[in-house]
Amino acid sequence: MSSQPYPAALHQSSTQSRTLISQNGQNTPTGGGTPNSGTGAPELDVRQQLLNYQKMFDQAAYPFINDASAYEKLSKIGQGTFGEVFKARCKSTGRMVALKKILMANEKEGFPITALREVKMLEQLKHPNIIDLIEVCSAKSSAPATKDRTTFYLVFSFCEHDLAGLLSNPKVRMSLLHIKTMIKHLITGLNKLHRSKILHRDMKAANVLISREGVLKLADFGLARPFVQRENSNVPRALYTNRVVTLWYRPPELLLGDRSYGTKIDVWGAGCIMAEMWTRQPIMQGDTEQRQLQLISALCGSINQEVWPNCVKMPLWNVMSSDTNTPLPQGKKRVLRSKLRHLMRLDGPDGRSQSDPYGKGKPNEHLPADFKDDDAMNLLESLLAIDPDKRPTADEAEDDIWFYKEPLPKANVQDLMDTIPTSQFEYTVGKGAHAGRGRHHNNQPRPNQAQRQSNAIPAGQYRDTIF
Amino acid sequence: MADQKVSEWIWHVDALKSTPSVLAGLNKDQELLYRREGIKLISEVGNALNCKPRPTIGVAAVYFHRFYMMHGFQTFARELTALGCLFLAGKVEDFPKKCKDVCAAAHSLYPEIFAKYPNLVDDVMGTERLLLHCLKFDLQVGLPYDALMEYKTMFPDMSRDQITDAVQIAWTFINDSIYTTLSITTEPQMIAIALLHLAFTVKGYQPVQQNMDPCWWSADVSNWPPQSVDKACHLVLDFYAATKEHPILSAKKLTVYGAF
Repeated sequence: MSSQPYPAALHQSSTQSRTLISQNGQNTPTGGGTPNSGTGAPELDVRQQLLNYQKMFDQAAYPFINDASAYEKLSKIGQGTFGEVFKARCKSTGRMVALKKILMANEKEGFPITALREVKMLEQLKHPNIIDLIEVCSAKSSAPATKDRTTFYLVFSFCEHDLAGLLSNPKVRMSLLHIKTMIKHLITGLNKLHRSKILHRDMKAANVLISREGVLKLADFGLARPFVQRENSNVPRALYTNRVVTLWYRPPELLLGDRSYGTKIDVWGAGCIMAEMWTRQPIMQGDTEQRQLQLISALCGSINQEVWPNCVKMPLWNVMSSDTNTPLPQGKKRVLRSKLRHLMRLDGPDGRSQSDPYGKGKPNEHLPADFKDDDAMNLLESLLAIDPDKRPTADEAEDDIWFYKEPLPKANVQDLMDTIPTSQFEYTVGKGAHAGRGRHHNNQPRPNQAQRQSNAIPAGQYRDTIF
Repeated sequence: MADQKVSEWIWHVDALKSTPSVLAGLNKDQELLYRREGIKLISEVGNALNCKPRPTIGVAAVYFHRFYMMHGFQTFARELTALGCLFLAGKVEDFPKKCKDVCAAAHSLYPEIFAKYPNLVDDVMGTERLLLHCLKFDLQVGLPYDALMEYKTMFPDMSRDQITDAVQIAWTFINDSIYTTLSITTEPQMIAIALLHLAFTVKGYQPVQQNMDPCWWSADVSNWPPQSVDKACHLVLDFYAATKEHPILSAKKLTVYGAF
C-alpha cells in the first residue's frame, strides 16, 4: 500500500494543544510512556486530533451552524424546561426571535436527550399552529472555567403573546369569534401533533403562544415525546412516565397513575384551556394530586365505573379510594355545563362580545336561550369527559359542528392583537405562574406549578422530567 | 463541493473523488477502507451494547458517512467519530446508552485502538458536540428498512414465502450496506429498491409486472434504469468481495496510511 504524502501543516504542534489537553483534564502522555497502539502513530497525533476538535469550538468559526452572536438579546421572557428564554433580534435581518437556552451544565450524558428530542420533533412538525424552530445556534460560554464550553440555543420565531398572559389581562376583550378561532387553531395544531405520533404532555395556557398576526401556536415541547400506536392488542402498550403535565391541566387517568396513556391526555388539556377562554383563569387549581382529583369530581362529576368503566384498573385507584379524606368523593353531580354555560355567550349583532371580560357572569342570570352557545358547551363537555375513551380525538374535535356554525372561525385574530399594545407574556405580567390570575388563592406555594412560578426557582427543580 | 450535491445530504457519486480526505492525500480506496473500519467500530461496539441495526447502528453509520464528506480522516480520528456517532444516534433514536458504557465497550473490544485515549468519555462528548454542529442538528435520518417493508405487499403475484424470503435477504443487504457509501449518494427508498432487486436476482425471482415494465420500481422512482440500479447493488457486492479477502479490523487495529 502506498503511503500518501501528508500535509505538514496538520502536524504543527503548538502550545494550544497542551492547553487543550490540560483543560480536558487529560495528562499529556510523556515520551515513550504512551501505550503505542502499534499503528506507528506518534502520540503527538492523538493530541493533534483532539486539538482539532477543540479548535472547532475555540475559533468560533462554526461553518455549519450560526453563532448566537448573530442575535442580539433584548430581554428575558421566560423559563423553559431546560433553561431561560430570551427575546432577541437577528442582527442581519432584524427578525425577532425567541432564544431558548439549553443548559449543558451537570449533563453527564452530553447534549440533553430531551433537547435532542425536542429538536427532532420540531423538525418534523412544520405547521402554522406549531411553534416554528428556525435553527439551533451556539455560543461560547461566558464563564471560561466551565467544562462545557458551548451553549446551545434553540431559535424560534418570536410570538408576541402567550395565552395565559392574554387571559389574565382584563383589558383584552375577546368575542366568541376570537375564542372560536383560537380554539380551532389549538385543536388543529394538536391534531397535527397527534397525527405525527407525538404527545405534547404539557398542554396549558402558558404554553400556547399567539403571534403578532393573531395565529395561535403550540409551544414548549420540552416534555413531548413520540408514541407508538398499538396496532395489535397482544403487544403490551408502552409505558411512559406518569409525571407529566402541569397539575391544573392533568387529566384523571394521569392523577390515578396511568402509565399507558395516549393522546387523550392532551385533549383534556385542550378542554381546560378552552374553558379558560371564558373563565379567564385555570378552571381547576389544585395544590396536590388528591386535591386536583377532588376539584375534577366537583366540576365534572364523581369518578366511578358508571362514567368510566376502566377507572378501577388505574394503578392508584385503590390507594386513592381508600384514602380517608377521599380524593374520589362519590355522589357529585357534573356541574360543568351549569357553571360555564352562561359564560359562553354569542356575540352581539354588532359582532361585539357580550361576555364578561372578567368571567364573572352570574349563573342564575336569565338569558334567552339563543344568547348562549350550546355547540361550544357540547364540545367542551366532550373534551372534559372523565373517561379518556369518551373524549374525542383531536381529529374528531377539529371537525366539531361548532366550527362549522356561524360565526365561522377566521384565519387569525389579528384584530384582537391590534387592540393590545404590549407583549402579554405571563412571565412579565406577574412575577409568578398565575400570580394575579386566580383571585381566590392565597399565597401558598404550589409545588407542582413551578414552571413559571418564579425566576428564583431554577428550572427543573420541581419540574417533572421525562426520565 | 456544493455543485456535487443532489440535496442537503445526498451527494453525487463524483463527490467521492474529491472528499476532504482525498484532497488531503488519501486515495479513494484508502478512504473507503477507513470508512469501513469506522463503521465496523460502530457496529461492533453497538452490538456489544445491544443496539440494533435498525435504527441505532444504521443512523450512526449515516452520521459517520456524512461527517466525512465535510472533514478529512486526517483531521478527525475515525475511532472517536465512530463512538460519537453511536452515542448520539442512541439518544436520537430513544435507545440511549451511557457514554461511559459506550467507552467501556470500546476499550474492551478494541483495547489497542482506544489505548491512546485515557479520557475517552470526555473525548466522545466533545465529538458529540462537533457532530451536532456538522450535522446541523438534522438528526432525523430515514433508513431504507421502512420502504422495504412497504414493498412486502406490492407483489401480489409472488407467493408469500418467496416475497418474505426476498425481503429477508434484502434486509441483510441493507444491514451490510452501511459499510458502503450508498447512504450518502442514494435516497433511502432507492436503496431499498436496489437491494430488493438484488435479492430478487440472487434468488432468481422475476417479479411480474402488470404493465410489462421491467423496472418494477418505476411507479416510485421513474427514469431509473436497471443499469444504475445494478451499480448501486455492486457497491454492496464490492464490499462483500473486499471483506471476504480482508475482514475489517481482523487484527483489531486500524489501518494507517501515511504518517499520521
